[in-house]
Amino acid sequence: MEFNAIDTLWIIMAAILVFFMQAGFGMVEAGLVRTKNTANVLMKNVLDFCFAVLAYFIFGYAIMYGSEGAFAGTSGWFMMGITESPVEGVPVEAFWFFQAVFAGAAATIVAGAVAERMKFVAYLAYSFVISAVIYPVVGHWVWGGGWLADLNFHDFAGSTVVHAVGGVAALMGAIRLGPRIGRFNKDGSPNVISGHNLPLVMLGVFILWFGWFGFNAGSTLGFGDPVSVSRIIMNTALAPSTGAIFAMAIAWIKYGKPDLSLALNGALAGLVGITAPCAVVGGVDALIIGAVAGILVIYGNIWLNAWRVDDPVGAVPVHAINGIWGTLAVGLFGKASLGAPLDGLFYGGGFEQLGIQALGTTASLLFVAVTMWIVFKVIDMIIGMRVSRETELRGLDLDEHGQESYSGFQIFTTE
Amino acid sequence: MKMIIAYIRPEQLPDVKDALFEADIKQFSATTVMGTAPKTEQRMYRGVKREVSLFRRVRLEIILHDEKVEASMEAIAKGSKESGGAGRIFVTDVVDALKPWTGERGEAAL
Repeated sequence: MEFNAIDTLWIIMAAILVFFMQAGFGMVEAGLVRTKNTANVLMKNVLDFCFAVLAYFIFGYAIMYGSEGAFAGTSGWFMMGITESPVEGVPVEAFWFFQAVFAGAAATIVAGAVAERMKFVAYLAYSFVISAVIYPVVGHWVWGGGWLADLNFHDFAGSTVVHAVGGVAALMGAIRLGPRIGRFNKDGSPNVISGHNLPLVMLGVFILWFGWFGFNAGSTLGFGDPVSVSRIIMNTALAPSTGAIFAMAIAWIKYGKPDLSLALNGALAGLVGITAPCAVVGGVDALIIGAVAGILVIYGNIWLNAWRVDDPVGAVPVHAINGIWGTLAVGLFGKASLGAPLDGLFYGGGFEQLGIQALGTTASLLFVAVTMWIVFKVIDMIIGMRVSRETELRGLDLDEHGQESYSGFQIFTTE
Repeated sequence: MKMIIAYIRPEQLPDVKDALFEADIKQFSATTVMGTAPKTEQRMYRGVKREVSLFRRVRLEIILHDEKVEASMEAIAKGSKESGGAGRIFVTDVVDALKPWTGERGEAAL
């Protein structure tokens, strides 16, 4: 077989960038929790990637790309018998690695939303299941030749497949666990439990952004069209910028001061929003998509507080709400001349693509919501989801891992 | 004029603070200190056993009029009761005080 060295190189390089996003997630989450839970949330970030790779090798790839079928693939367990990748000229091992790091990204989104109260062993169980079954099924529907692919549902790099899947799983986890002790008052009003290290959060967001160039531009799965790759790179720089600017502006107007952690959430929101449409929209569209994402992330936080859902890092507003927004944006801003299945609503294509996008994201997220609810329920019954009150108060670092993240530092802890 | 010194665990501070506020005691300070406990604790670090004998504690200092001493001790006890109780609560005499920007001395400076 003839292999294309440049396409292969591009996919591997992009995959390595996406791999590094794991560090970004780790830093964001570490910075946004309290010192007493830092080692625990980092441990979850390390292990969910390791379990994702394992699960995606054993089950995930077979379900996602193993064979045709509307619902799921059924062959190629342990990658056995799979010799060709779906991308011509690219060895299957490179393609597998690219897909495996995406599975890892979906899995790790949940760690932040369930931080500071979910049992470590319960989290390990969850992370294997999502990468082995749940993420691959949605991935098969959209990218593996499933029923949504047949409908021409367009999710270029995974606003729905990766981010909304992870975000909805995070929402289910956060609802099942309930809020952290002290997060809401008896009358339901929210309290502040502030993160302990904003520099780490900022570093994490830029590592994520850095990796996202691989996430989006690598999803071309080749370098045959440098114009498309270049447009994606530009859009991946534009949308998060307006995301951060608008999130900052709304927070500034509403709360009186520009809040660093909300501005950073806005940048991530813009990245999630541009993930699905990055290849099929122009620069101005990307700016608007990012701006809306930045606004949505602020209101998402407000809604979660109103519903008394405790999401310590804002994973749900960033990944779930903006994953849906990015997917719908394809139906609004997409251009057939750039590779969208149909022109979007704002470019004279009418409601057809928007309808397909809405159907696709709704069906995928309902599937994830129902299956994850069951998964968390079963984990709760067998091993228990939440740590004891005493452990939560002392911190998961000491009780679950027997070590402190900042041993030797004088740290003022109030709860 | 007396000073209350109380040792509690960090996780008890929110409840103790609320209980003190409820008793209308709203002037005090809290610092993190390290203190011993009746029992030491064994922890593993990278496979090596380690005996831990100093633990993080919060030290509260409250300086108040004599008649509020009982109320503040009760509030600290009440606030920490649910999570195992306070370590110790001490009361000492305070000899004098000065509020520099008004020049008030003694009890008037509180």
